[in-house]
Amino acid sequence: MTLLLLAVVAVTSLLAVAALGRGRVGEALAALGMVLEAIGATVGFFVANLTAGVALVLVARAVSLFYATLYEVADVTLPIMSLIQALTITLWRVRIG
Amino acid sequence: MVVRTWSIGCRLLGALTVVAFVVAAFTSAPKLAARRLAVMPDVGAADAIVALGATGYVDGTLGDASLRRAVLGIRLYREGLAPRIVFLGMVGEAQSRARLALSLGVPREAILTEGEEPTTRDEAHRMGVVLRERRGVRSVLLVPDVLHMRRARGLFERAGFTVRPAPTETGILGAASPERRLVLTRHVAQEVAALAYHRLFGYL
Repeated sequence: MTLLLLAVVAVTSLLAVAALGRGRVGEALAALGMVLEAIGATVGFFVANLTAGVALVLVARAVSLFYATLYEVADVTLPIMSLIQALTITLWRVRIG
Repeated sequence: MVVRTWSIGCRLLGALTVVAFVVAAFTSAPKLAARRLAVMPDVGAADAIVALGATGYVDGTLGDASLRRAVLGIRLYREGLAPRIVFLGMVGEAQSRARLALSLGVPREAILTEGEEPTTRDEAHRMGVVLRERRGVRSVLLVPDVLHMRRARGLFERAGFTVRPAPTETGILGAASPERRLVLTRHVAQEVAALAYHRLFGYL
């Protein structure tokens, strides 16, 4: 199963490079750097969002505003929203140079 | 300067994340970590069976974890390992599980429900009052999921019980596909964070 998945991804990547790369393989490294930057920014935003969420829940509990479990902060939408934040910031940074 | 630091920092973090993803999805590292965290079954006679709460819905249906725990608790009761069974869970979850137990032949007088406790810590505290102080229960067969057991057992021991672990979903430890290993990684990370939180605040 693992090898099948890796093989499929490798084949479609090579096809995309062949169809769209126009022989400029060197640019691929720069693109990879941008991808890593976006992934890193996503993790950074996710950790920041998670930390802020946990802090808010704990403060709300301490002052008895409402009761919420910490599981609510671990919702799967949080990393997705962090990805949107990261892509927006990364592409904006690239556009403004 | 700030922009350059941001860019380099993010790229390094991104590279680490990709490596972590590959390790989590394509190696047995999550299984090794999960096995270190898990508490395996030690099932035997006890004064009560306690099926911890998970997810119940307002229409009375039960989430996967809730159903797993309820079914295992009922099975343990029917094997004669304890004279009473406690179902926990908010939003009607405990009552739904009790109805399931009744329909599967567990007598009404053997069933106890508690449905106001939002966390495992609250459940352990409540059981300390309802089972140990009021009914003299000393030992429990505790039924959470396998990765949740270490924290749950610690909390119930602090509430004064001798705990015999009866975890559900032990099969998750054998996660065989990349997707299952990622799910397992998430469970392990969540439980490690929960254990750290409980130790930090002196709950364990």
